[in-house]
Amino acid sequence: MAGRAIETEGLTFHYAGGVGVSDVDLTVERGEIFGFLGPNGAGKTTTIRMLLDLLRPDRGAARVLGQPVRAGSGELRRRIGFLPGDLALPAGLSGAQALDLFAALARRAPIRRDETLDRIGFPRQALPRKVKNYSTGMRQMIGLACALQHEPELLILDEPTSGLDPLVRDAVLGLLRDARARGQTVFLSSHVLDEVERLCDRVGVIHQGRLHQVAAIAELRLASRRHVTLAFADGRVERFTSDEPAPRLLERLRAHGEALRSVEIRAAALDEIFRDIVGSADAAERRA
Amino acid sequence: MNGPLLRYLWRRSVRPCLACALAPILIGVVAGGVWPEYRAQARAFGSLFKFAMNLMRSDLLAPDSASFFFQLPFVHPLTILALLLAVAVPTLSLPAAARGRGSLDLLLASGLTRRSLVATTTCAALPFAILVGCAPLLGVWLGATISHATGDLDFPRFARVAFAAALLGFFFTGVAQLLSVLCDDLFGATWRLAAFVLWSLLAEIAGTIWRDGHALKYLSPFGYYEPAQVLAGVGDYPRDCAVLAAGGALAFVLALGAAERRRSA
Repeated sequence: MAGRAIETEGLTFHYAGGVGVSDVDLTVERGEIFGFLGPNGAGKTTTIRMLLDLLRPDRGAARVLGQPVRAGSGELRRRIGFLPGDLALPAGLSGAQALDLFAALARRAPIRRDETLDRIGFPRQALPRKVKNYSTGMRQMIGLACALQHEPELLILDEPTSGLDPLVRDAVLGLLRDARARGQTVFLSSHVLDEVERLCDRVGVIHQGRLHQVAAIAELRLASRRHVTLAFADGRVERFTSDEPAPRLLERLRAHGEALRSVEIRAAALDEIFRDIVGSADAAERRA
Repeated sequence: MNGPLLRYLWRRSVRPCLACALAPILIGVVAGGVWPEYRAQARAFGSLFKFAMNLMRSDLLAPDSASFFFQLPFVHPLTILALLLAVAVPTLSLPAAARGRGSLDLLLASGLTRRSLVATTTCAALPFAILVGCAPLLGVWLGATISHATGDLDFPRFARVAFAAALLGFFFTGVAQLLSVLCDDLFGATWRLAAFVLWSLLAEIAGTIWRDGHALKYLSPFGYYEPAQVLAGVGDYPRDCAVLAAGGALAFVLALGAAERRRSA
């Protein structure tokens, strides 16, 4: 169990046609749920593929579960559960055959298969049917079960709730929380920031191939702007957004004295924080 | 080599490959039905189908001999196509087709190495090369039995031809596997394999028909697969087998190296 779950140093990959990722330094501790956020084309999937040795970096290195990705090879990847963003299962398989194949490839007993299928509500009678006849959501469920069934030490999930209805999404979030409770590490990319906010311990924001921020969600909130609502004794209500440090904001509120009847200070939601980070990264890019 | 992947590939490919094995067997059976009529009018057939007679090497075997006629299941274009398809179905499915449709990432992330994936796929195709390579022998036996010509045939020599056919299948396995590794999807690998086979056939035909361009046929794998020579007991059978085996092995080794060197799996 030595080493961090994921560690990258200067991870860089350039596509022939443009940006891939540049100098990504990232650390994910064991037993945490890490959210990897970024707009479309930001470099999330490229980074994930390098963590699995599906892409070979031009520069930099990655260690997963304490081992260099390339040297760790097959044995390392058997300790990982992976769900790609654009899920395509091998052709010609039924749901049951797909589950059996991936359990056999991982060389581990599928000890969590039944629990996973039950909790996400996958209809058992559909297991003998060919995967090509499944709906998008059912395919995603089978993909999730393939990743989770052998209780891997690290789960790398690219958009895990894509195509799922709200009830199944909640079940998936519950499964991932339970995985964390058992000591498994979860690294997930998602566009659904509400889910990330509910689930993740820390997040990293990548934009145009560069990792701009890595922090705990609570830290991001503390550092972000706040929505302030002031209600005055004369009935007036004033609303503003402040990115001042807390002592200065409190000083400003105190200046209203007795006229102030109540104060509501609300931290920015993760989607606002995400937009701010991406927006300031774009602005910095334009200035450069 | 990976057992679960091997079983998956066999399960997926066994039906099309068995269908491919049927082609040379049926050709043998039809040849058996036609043989008495052909023997009676071999000279007339010979003047009508001179081009085919040349390709079947009427210079080495008497056109009215059973050995000449019953080599048909080994040299018929459908047999060559069946042999090619039988080994191309598994080898082009992994990694080329899987890469194109996106399932390759999932397989490789599940504990397979690139090398084990390529090695397993090639191993999955080899039994099909042997099966379809030997199927014409069964066709010859069935055809000869139907037409009571078994006594006119030297079956040990036909068995040697079947072995050479299996080696030709091994050669195609290596080439298809190499193209499957190099190309980004099934379409790219398929048309390149088709172009290679077409070029090989043209080189073989030109080398056989054009006396001054005899050396051309040795640029093609078909130049080393000469059933008529084996049946006539001429030519260098061990050298031809060695070239086909070495060509297949070389392509396989190149495929392993190319898989490892790809930036994107």
